[in-house]
Amino acid sequence: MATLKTNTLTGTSTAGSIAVTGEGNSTTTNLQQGLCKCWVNFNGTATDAASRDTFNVSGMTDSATGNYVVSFSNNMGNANFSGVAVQGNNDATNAGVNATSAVGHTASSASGIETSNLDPASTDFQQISAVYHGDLA
Amino acid sequence: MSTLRTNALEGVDAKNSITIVAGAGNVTTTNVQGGIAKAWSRHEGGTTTVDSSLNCSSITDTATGRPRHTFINAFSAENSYATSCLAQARCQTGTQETNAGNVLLRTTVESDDSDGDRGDVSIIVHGDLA
Repeated sequence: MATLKTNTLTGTSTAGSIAVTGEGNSTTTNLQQGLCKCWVNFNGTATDAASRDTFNVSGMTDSATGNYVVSFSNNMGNANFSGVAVQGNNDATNAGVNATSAVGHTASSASGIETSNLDPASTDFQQISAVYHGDLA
Repeated sequence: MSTLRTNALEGVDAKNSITIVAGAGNVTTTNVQGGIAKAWSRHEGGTTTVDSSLNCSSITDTATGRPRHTFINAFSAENSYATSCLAQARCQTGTQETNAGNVLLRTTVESDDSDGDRGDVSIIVHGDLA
């Protein structure tokens, strides 16, 4: 086993691009593109949609019932990044399975999240998580 | 501060496995290959235009609410990856069929469970490449 110690990884030909050998040893995938660029766990019922833990989040906004905005510390390169979210409650009998989440964004600096019940009506949930992949600016 | 400049990373003992210290206590390690997403994309349902993606060669509009995402580099098996998917508000999104080389999603309209093309379709896929 060899251990390489470094604080920073940078591509040689292109600073933002490093290939990593895949599990099957036959293909490569891109390290930077594969890394999650932002994630957040927050309480949608709390004032200002208080985040519990985050990565690359500068702030949260509680826009309306069931509607939140996640602002990024380092912006994405465009508004076409991929994001998924899931909602839930700290309640075994009302875990949030009969509900939906959606992620929408028109800017590279932030993403909107809407959580709804199946009526459908916008609804706050206690446990909301979102994960974002895409290209940083 | 040290900076490693390289175009490619391979494990030494197994070139498909690199360990990185990642725990808050600077002790716990995780696997680079296992932890990075192998595919992600975003597109508007009902279209075949990929707005942005990693490892997604095309999207086929197989039927209303049934987009199929084809991977450039396939996964090792149909059950060797996990897909997270989501579309616009107030609809259900899920995987209908998984294959090593592609995944078929299903999106529905609001609460009546009928198939529907929805906007802002995102998928993120983690798993083992072939």
